[in-house]
Amino acid sequence: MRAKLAVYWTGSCGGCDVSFLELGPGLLDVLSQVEIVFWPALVDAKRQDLERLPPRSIDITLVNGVLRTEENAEMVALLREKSRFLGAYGACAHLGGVPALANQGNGILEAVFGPGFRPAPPFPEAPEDTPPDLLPEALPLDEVVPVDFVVPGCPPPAGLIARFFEAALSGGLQPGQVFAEEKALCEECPRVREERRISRVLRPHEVLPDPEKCLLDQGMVCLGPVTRGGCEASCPKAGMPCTGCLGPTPKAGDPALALLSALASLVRAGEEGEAAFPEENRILDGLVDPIGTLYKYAFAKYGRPLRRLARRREEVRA
Amino acid sequence: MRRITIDPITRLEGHGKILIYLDEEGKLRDAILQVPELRGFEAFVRGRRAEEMPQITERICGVCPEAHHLASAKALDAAFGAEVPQPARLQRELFYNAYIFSDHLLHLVFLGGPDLLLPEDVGKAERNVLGVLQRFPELGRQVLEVRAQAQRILALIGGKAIHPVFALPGGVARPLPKEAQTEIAAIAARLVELGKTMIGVFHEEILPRPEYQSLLLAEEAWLPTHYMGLVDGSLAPNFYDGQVRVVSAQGEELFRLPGDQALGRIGEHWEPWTYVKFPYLRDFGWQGLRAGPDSGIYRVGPLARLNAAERMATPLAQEEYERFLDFFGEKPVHATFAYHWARLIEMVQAAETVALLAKDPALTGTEVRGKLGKPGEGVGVVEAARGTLFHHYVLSPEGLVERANLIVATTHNAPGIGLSVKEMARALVEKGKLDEALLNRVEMAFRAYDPCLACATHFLPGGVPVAVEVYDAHGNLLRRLEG
Repeated sequence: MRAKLAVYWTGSCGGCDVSFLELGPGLLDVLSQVEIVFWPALVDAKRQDLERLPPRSIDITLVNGVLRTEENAEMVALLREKSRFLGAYGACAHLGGVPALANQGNGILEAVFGPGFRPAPPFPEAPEDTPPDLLPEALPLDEVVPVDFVVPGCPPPAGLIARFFEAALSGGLQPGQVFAEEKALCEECPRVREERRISRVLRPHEVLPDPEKCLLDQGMVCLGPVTRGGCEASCPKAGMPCTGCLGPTPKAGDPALALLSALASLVRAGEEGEAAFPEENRILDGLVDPIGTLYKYAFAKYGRPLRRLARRREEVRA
Repeated sequence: MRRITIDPITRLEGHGKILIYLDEEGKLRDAILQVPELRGFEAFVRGRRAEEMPQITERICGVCPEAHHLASAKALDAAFGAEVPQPARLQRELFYNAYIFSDHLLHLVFLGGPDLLLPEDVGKAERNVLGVLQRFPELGRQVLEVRAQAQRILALIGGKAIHPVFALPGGVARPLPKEAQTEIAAIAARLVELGKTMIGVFHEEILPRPEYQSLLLAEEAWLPTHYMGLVDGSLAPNFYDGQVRVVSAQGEELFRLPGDQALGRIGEHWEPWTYVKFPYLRDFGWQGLRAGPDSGIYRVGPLARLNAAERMATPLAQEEYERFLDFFGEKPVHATFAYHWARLIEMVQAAETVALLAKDPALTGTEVRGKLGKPGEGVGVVEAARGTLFHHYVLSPEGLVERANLIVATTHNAPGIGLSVKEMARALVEKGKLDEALLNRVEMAFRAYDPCLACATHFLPGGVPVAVEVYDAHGNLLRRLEG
């Protein structure tokens, strides 16, 4: 019997849905082994059809996108009820993703439209046609419903998608499974790492990196040491640092803290007091926008203490 | 007042919604397209590192990340006052044409394709990518294979195909390895071959069908607007670079300007009932949501680019362009359903351009970074598959983003899509045809644009799943139709 599959997107760019096409003709084999019961991008099944299904009647549901509106939250609750296995697919559902950088608290409506924008219906007689309100914060999937497994990445690389379908279609899906390596990306990166002391943090446009050497050794902030492997180090191979889309390794935990700790070990430590190494004290000056750099995909998941701190600071000031 | 909701959103996807209002006599009062989704990129890019913008803004759209990636890089080139060296420019331009090919192919076969390739009496359940694969198994497999190879070009140059990482202010991340060029050149020949195949499919399977001909010529799908597109020095469309040319609804050139100056000619109007802004040409002012030669509304995308240009840049595309103009016998072509045909012509130009650039020995040159000046303000413009895309940044002295404004393709087209929907609705209401044909026709009216409302609808082979609800003047539900 074919496995019943659902795919749904919330606040998403669409890249996760397109990523299935990266399987190429291999997609035909997958499609021949599943019955798609709900996948707005692909077939015409409706929310009503979904509501009519008995609980736990969908074998596997993949949700991509961040939770940005009330409706997103409602839909994933509904899908959870109808599904045996429900997984986070892609960095937004897994960690909040890039759109969750909005959780730093910039006013979205005002930034987009200027002051004075208030959503309203086109005709006062139809108040139900007012555009919906946004959630106060963008949330990853597991903040609203229990998540059984994760296919990480922005978007998930073809190799991991194939690995996922192989497990899912042979009945080998395990609760808690993350379809990426537990080991760090560095393990699969062909660049040579010597753990050199760095003299300056460099931004990618400031230097043309040596093609063979570790980017971190060359002073670039590469999240490879704290990020799961599984993409064959595609970004470092192309000359650009890893930005962490597969999420932190279990060992690393909070990626910003882990990477800062790794960076600190590459900076020569002083023994004669703070003022003794004025040069070294400025090494991290190149690390501008630490939130966007170290929490690019994971701010919703790990940035909460920082957000609490910022709020507290404002309260004290007031 | 009666209210008809065509709602793929609150019910299903959350990406776009059409609201139709009728007065007491049953005449159309208004029909609007509402976008109730907002992720707010303009807000949270503030304070980000400038060089990260190509990788952040591409997360706006996972179907056309390449367009945001390079519009962003070009805005940064300008903001840092950098000249992009030839090898870097070639990498970007080849990459970009491979993307246009891949994206247009996706729409022609899997998104718009089911409307065009399958007979009209095919049921909704089959009118999707699976239906196309079933009826055209050989073509389907060939398309999946060749598209995967086009994506391979994107990965070879961009590092990754979806959400590439290679563009930086003033250039690209690294020189392209020689073996990559060899592989790209081999793939390029296959892209051109498939382009020829698709022209054949169009002339044998699509154009002769009376349903398609009647759509092409239907009055309610004939929208006289101005048109915008990037052109090169010979007035052929160029996807990656060139000047922004706008021609009027009567076909006269209104202006031809570099991106930053063109941006100054565009105003943005907003309405409280939608999260999408409405751009218009400032010279005309905002005249309300209506078409015509004295309105400021213009369109972008494949049809608009062909109208804004005078010729195509490559031989096979030029041949097909001439057949296209012969068919309509006049220019600009205002037929909304001609977007599909225009897309095919552009796809062929993109394939031929990839093949041409793949032979250039400078592609693997090692000079890939231009000298950067002090960060300031810059505008970048490219032609995304769906139309002109502007990125405009103001940077701080530290090279962080202070302000960003983006006008994306489907935003330019939001007024046009809204009007196409409205005209289609008006025609159907006047004919009293509030049945399933309404659903199909309205869906097809906006699918012609391959719209990217939160990057959704252009990946919808079976069409946006919609429901239409008809209410009487007292708000009672009269009928509910599902697509």
